[in-house]
Amino acid sequence: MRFIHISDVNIGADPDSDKSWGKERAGDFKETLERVVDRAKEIDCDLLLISGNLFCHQPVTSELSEINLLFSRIPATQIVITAGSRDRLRRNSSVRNFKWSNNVHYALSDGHDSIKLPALHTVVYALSLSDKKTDIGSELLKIKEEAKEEKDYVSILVMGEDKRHGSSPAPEEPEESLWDSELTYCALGGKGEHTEPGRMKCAYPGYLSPLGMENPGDHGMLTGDISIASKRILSLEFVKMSRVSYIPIRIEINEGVGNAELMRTVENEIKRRGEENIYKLRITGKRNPETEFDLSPLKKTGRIEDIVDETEPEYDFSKLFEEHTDDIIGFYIGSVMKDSEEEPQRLEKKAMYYAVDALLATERRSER
Amino acid sequence: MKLKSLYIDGFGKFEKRSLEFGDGFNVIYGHNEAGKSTMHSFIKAMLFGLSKRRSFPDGVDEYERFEPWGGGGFGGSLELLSGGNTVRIKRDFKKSPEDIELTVGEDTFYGEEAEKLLRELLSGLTEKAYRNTISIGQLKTQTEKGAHKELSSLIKNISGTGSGELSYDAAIEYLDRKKRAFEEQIDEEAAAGYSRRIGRIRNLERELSDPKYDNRLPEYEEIGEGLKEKLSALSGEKEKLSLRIEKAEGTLSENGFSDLRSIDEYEKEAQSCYDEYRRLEKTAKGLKRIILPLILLIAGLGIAALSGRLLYLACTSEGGFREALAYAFGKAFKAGLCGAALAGLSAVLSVSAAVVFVSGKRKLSGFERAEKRLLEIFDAHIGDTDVSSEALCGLKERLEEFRRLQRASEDCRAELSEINGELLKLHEDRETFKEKLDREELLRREAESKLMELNSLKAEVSELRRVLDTNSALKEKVTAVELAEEKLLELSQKIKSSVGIHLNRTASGLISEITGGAYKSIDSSDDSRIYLSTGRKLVPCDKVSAGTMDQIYLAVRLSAVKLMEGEKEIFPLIFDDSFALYDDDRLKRVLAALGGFSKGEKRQLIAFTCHGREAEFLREAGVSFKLIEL
Repeated sequence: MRFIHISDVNIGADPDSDKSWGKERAGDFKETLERVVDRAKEIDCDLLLISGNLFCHQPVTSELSEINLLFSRIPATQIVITAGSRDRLRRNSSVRNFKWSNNVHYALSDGHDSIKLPALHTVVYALSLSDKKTDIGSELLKIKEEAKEEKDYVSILVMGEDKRHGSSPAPEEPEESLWDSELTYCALGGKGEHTEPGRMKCAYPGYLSPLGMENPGDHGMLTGDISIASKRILSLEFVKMSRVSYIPIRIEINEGVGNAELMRTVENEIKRRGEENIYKLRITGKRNPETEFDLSPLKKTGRIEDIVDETEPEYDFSKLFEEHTDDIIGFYIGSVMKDSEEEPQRLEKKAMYYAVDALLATERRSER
Repeated sequence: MKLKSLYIDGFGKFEKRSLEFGDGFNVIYGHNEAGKSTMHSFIKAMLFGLSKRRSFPDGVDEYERFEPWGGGGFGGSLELLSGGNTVRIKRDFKKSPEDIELTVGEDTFYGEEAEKLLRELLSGLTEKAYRNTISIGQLKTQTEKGAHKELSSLIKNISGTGSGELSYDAAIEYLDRKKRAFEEQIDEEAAAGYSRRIGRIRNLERELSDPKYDNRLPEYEEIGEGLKEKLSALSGEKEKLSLRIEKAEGTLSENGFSDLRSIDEYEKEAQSCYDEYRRLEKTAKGLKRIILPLILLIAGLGIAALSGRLLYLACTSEGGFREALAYAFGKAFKAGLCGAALAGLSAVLSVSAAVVFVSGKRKLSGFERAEKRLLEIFDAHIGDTDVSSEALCGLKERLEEFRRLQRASEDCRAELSEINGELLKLHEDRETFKEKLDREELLRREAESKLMELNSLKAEVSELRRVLDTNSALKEKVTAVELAEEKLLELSQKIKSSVGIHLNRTASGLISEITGGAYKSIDSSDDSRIYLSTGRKLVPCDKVSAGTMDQIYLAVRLSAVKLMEGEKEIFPLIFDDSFALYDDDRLKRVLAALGGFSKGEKRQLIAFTCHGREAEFLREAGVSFKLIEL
């Protein structure tokens, strides 16, 4: 039996709405899911597991219809969906009365749904997160017991991680408690990054598409094979599906680097890593005090979400202090450095930079 | 401090070149490209080292710039007098790091230690202070107005920041510009928009938590299904019952029955017919009905005949009537009487016979009627049959069945009316349910639109949060700039109250000296204007002659040097082509003034120049000096 496992599709997310690529990004989430559906068709996938957060918020009927239409295109693939922490089941959820295509099974119980798929010799235990305080620990115990009973079936658990209930009833790391159960595969969700290959029994596919800089790296789905006869996983691999990655780049500069060179470095870096990706630049190092980086044109060189200029003007304050013992620069530096034994406060230090910078920038240029 | 001599092993164009300075005024003369600035750079390099760090605008650093043209050694030595010590600095720039050898009296020091000691010997003179204070570059002021401006900014700078090069006002203006640039980037609307949206989100969430928005449609669906099922079950039942009633009532009406009473009456009739039939059956069937009247008739006739004889006899006895009568009274009478009696009897019998006959005849017709009716009944219900108890039994069973049918049909009717009642109620229920469902669906739509609004608000809020983050970073920058400004103001005021006063005093002394007492002091307490005091009145600085202005300028520059020196040391003043732009008159005046300074303060002066006129004018002015030609 061939299966695909995804989680945190986050339909409806709009993480970069204030950016020029925001619109495209907002469409990415559904588009990536469409590619997963296409892939399911290509590989004759029998079972598609979605462990939580298909939507990034409470879905409304129109959103559900759109996704259902997509799923109805693969009637040969059974699809099991659970609600996650972002789209958790509420008393007023629209999904409660939504009519899915007959190959789609959305877990709506307060406890867990046991979905029997006789054609696949499989029973899927689907645990949706709801706003009720479901005791997930004891629910898992029940599932483990049930799985023991169903000896002739491949048993699979589908659930997202409940961050909100986190420590209380839910086990911190559900995989630890599931590792030695009768379950064949535990399709978990709610984590940003995918499981390392090799850990086959309990796996997180990571967000199908990244939500921002906090989800760096590749994003996609897990796909694998399960032997119905031996009820064991034969293979499990990660397949990159998201076209976009968020990549933080740190660029270390030195005093000799000017605006033009910085631009060139950034351009090359972006070209090398892929222009479709979204970057956050952190520029560190010491810059020439006379160089003021104009970072705005940098944003036009590619999809740069944010630029943090952590460069410090190459002011050697102790040297400046020595050179200006008799004037305001020396007095200023002296007052900040001597004020306390401790490191000066960030704000104070920043103010000192500005003050010294202003004085030196407006200094009458004398001959060398 | 005084420079005594130098020896260049190799530095730029110079190679194995030595030079000795005089104690007082030194004029180092050389035409363009003779190497004046190289020489000056050599002095700086000896004092402070040759930095690779500081590069010239053309990107060539000092090291490259002064590498000896002819190869060979790179470095040299400088001898100076400082604090009563003869100090010899020897540097080799070829080595990396630079090699320094410092000889003070009999002792020689090397490396870091030597550098440190040298700093001490130079009384903390830094390269920057050297550049900004004791080394005086080309004085650019040509116009009087420019001179005044330069002078006032010099004074202002020194008294505001302690340095002639640093301007408090310019720095503050620079910081203001920076602050405005930051402030312009702050999105003031964001915070209000953010809290507005957060408020709306809270409201929406509260509204949505109202149980009326719970999604009860699945339950409603179940209820609807249940109602539908019940309805169809009842309708089926109704149809079945109607069919049964129709069938039963059809059978009954076909057989001529309308109700139980009609069946009962029918049965009663059949029974009575049967009973009649059975009662009349014997008379009708035997001779009974003729024989009895016949016997009666015969008996009557016989008796009539006997009576007639007797009467005859009575009449015919003794011939006559009397006799007869007598006889009669005797025998005849008896016979006559008997005859009469018998005749009567016979008449009675005959009448009886007639009566019996008539009644027999009547009995026969009652029987037939009963039989006929019975046969009719049997024919209608059983078919061909004789009148028999079996047939009657069969009929009774059949009628019992009709009765059962009748009763069942009545039961069905009752049930049907009950079902009709239920159906009516169910329809009513369905109407109410539909209304409720409509209401529920309306609520769902309401909930959905609220959810949609909530979702889009949340997206907006997360965008605004990013704006707010940027805002707070910008605000922090603004705060830092403000802090910098505050601190600069505080420090500047402190400097003004100490350095400013000191400067005024020093400069005043010098001015009085240079101007030969024409002006006694300088007053720079007014930020916008500088006044000179003649002792009797204050003259605005821009009203004095150009010559006086230059003197004052020099006095202030010198005061700055003196401020820096404190009491510790007297540094040489180095003029690097400073007077190139001065006309002869002006130069003469300045040189004379400088000569005065040099002499009065025992200060070493070194003037690099490409003109011969400095030497000429000094000679004219009778100032002693040492001329060094490159």
